[in-house]
Amino acid sequence: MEIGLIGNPNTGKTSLFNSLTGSYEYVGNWSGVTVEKKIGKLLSVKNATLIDLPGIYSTNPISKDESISTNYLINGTYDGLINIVDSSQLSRNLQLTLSILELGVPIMIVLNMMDVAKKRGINIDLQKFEKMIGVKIIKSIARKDYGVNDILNNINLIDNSKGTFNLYYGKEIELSINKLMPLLPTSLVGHRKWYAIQCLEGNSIIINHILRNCSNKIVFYDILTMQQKELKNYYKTNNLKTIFMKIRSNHIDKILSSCVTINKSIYLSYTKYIDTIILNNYLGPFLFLTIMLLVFKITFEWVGSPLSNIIDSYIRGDFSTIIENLFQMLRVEGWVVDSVLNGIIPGVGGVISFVPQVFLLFFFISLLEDSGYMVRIAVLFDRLMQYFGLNGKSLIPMIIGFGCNAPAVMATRTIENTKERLLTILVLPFMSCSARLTVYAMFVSVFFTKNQAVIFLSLYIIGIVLALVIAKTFSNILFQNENTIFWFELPPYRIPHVKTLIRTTWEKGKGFIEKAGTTIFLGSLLIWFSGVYGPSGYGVPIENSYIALIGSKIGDMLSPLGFGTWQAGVALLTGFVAKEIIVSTMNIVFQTNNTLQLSEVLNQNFTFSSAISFLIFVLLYVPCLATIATIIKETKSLTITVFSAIYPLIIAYIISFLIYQTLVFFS
Amino acid sequence: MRLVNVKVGSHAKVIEIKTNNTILIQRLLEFGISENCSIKVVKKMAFNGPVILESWGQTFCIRHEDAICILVKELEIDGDWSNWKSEYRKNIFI
Repeated sequence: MEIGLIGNPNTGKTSLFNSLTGSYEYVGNWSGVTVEKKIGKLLSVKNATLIDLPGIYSTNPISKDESISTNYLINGTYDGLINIVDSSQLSRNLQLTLSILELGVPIMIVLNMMDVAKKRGINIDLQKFEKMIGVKIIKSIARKDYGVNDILNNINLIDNSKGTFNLYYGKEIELSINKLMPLLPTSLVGHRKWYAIQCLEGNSIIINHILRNCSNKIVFYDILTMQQKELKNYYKTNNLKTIFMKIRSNHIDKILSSCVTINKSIYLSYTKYIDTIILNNYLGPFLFLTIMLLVFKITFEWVGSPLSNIIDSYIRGDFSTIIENLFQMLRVEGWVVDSVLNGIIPGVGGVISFVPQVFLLFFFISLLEDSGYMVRIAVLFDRLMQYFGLNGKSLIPMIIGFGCNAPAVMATRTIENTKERLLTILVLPFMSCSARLTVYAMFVSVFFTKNQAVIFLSLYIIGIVLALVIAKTFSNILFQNENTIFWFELPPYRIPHVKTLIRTTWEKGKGFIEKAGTTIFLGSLLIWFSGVYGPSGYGVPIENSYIALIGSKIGDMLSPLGFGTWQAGVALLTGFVAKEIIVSTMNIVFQTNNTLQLSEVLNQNFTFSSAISFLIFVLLYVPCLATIATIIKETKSLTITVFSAIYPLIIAYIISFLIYQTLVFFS
Repeated sequence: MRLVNVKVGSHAKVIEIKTNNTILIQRLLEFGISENCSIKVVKKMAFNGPVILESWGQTFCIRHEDAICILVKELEIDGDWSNWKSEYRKNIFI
C-alpha cells in the first residue's frame, strides 16, 4: 500500500510525515522546505509506505519542486492520498483540495494546525464538512503529534473514500469538457474530467502527459486549442485559470459559510509586531548583521573554540597515548601502529575536533529556519539580490549552503525562474560550508589571536560579496530581459520546539561525523600511505614520498599565491573530494602531535599574507565532489557542471594572487 | 490607481491585473488575488523593494514592479466601509 502526502506549502506535511513514519525529515517554517519525494514506512500499518511530496498551491506547477507533486498525481503508483490542509487558511488550501477531489482518487483530508485555527477563533463543523466534501476528514496538530493515531487507525478507510465530488463549471465549460473527454487516452489515473479541466486551464504537464499517451495527438491538440479560444472569447479573458479558480472559490465560499464559524472579531498576531522591527527598512539589515555576528561569536569564540580545543587536546594527548599503550600491550608494531598514530588519529581527529563548532552553526541555522526569520531575510534583501540578477529566494539556499553546499543546490528548486535558479547554483559554491569552516578554524586560531569571530564573519561575507559580483557579471553576459518574480508567503513566527531543533541539528550535523568515519578515514589512510611510500619503497622520509612528488608539482603553480609548498598543494588536491580532508592532510603531512606543534609548523610554512591568500583560495576554489554530483543531477547539463567546477578555480587563483601580492607590496 | 501607490495600512480593491507575466498571475490567483478581491498593504520595503500584502488572512510579498501592474481602488473607511467591512471580516480569518 502506498499513500501520498499532498498539500499546500508550509502546512506541516513533513511534520506529519515524521510523526506517521517515526522517521525524521528536514522541517522548517517557510514554503519550499521539501523539494523532493521522501519515502517512509507507516507506523503500525503493515506494508504501507508514505510518500512526502513537495508543497503545491495548485496542480499546475510553476517551479521544479512543484512539478514533482503533479507528476506523482498522474504517474504515481499510489493507492490513496492524504491531503493536508492548513485549518487557519481554508479558503486558499481548499482550492487544491477541490482540484484533487476532482481527480477522483482515494483520499483522506487532514485538517492540520487546528491549534492556530482555534487561536484565530475558527470553528469547523467536521460532520457537515465531511458531508459536503464526501471524504473522511481528520483533525490534527502535527507538531504536537495530535491526531496521528486517528490517521493511522483510519488509513485503511482511504481505499473506500474514493471521492464522488463533481463540481459544475457552467454550461460553456462543461460543453468544452465533454468535447475533450472522449479524446483522452484510456490509461489515465483518476477521472477523465479532471484531465479535461487541467488541459483547458493550460496545465502544460498534463497536456504533455496526454499528448504522450494520446493516439490522435493532432486532433486532440486542435480541439483543445479551439475550445480554449471559444472559452476565452465567451468569458472575455486571456487567462482561463482565473475563471476556473473563481468557480472553485465560489464553491469554497458555500462550503465555508455552512461549515465554518468565526468567534473572535479581532485576532491580534504578535507576528505583526515582530515584523515592524525585523522588516524595518533601516533596523532590519542592521539587526540581521548583529544576529549573524552573535551567531559567529558564540560558534567560534565564546563556546565553539574552547570546546574544540578540549576535544583536540584529548585526541592528540590522552587518546593517542591510550592507543599507543594498547598497541604496546598487544605487541602490535610496524605499519599498523604507524598508520593509526600518524595517519588516522591526526587525520580523523583533526576533523572531529571541529564538531562543536559545526554543530553550533547548524543549531543556529535551524533556529533561523524554524522561527520564520529566514523568509524575512529573503524579503529584506530581495531588492539587493535583484540588482545582482538573483532573487530574494536565492538567500535561503545560500544560508543552507553555510551548512553544506550539496543540499543548498537542491534547495534552489523553489526558485521559479530558470535563470535565477541557474545563477544561484553557479554561485552557491562560494558559500563557506561547514567543511571549509575546519580549515578557517585551523588557520584563524594560529594567525589571528583577537577578534576571531569577526575574521570568520568576514570570510563568509567575502564569499557572499563575490557570489553577488559574479552573479551580476553572468546575469549581464548570459541572461538578459527575463521575466522574473519574487513571491513569498510570510509564515507567522513560531517558537521552535526544542525537540525539533535538536533533531534538525543532529540530522544536519551527523553527516559531518559520518564523513569523518568514512571519506576522511579512508582519505587519511591514503594520504599516510602515499606519505610513507616513495619511488625507493616503504619507509622513505615524507619529503621523498609520492605525496611530496605530486604536491611539489602543484606547489610550483601555487608559488605566486604565497603558498607554493608541496604540503599546501597536496592538501588542496585532496580537498577536492571533501574540504575537511584539507585539515586531515595538513595534520598528516606536517606530522604534528599537538596543537602547539601545528601552530609552529603553520607559522613556518605560511606568512600572515600567504595564510590569508590560502584561506581565500580554499573559500573560492572548486566545489567538493558531492556538490558537483548534485549540480549534475539538478542541471542535467555536463557543460554547466564542468563550468561550475572550473570557473571558481580561475577566480580563486586570480583573487588569491591579487590579495597576496597586494599584502606583500604593502608590508 | 496602482497598488504601489496605496498607503501602508490601507485597504484596496483589485480592479485589474495588467501583466503578461503568467507566473505572477498564477501565483496571485493561487493566493486568491483576482479582480474585486480586497488587499491590505502591510509594508513597502525601501529602494522600491518588495511590497508586503495581506489578503484572505495570509501575508505575502511581491516585487514593486509587479505591484505596479495591479490596478486597484483604495477603500475609504467612510465610503465603501459597510461592504468592505463584511468582506474583510470574512476574508481576513479564513
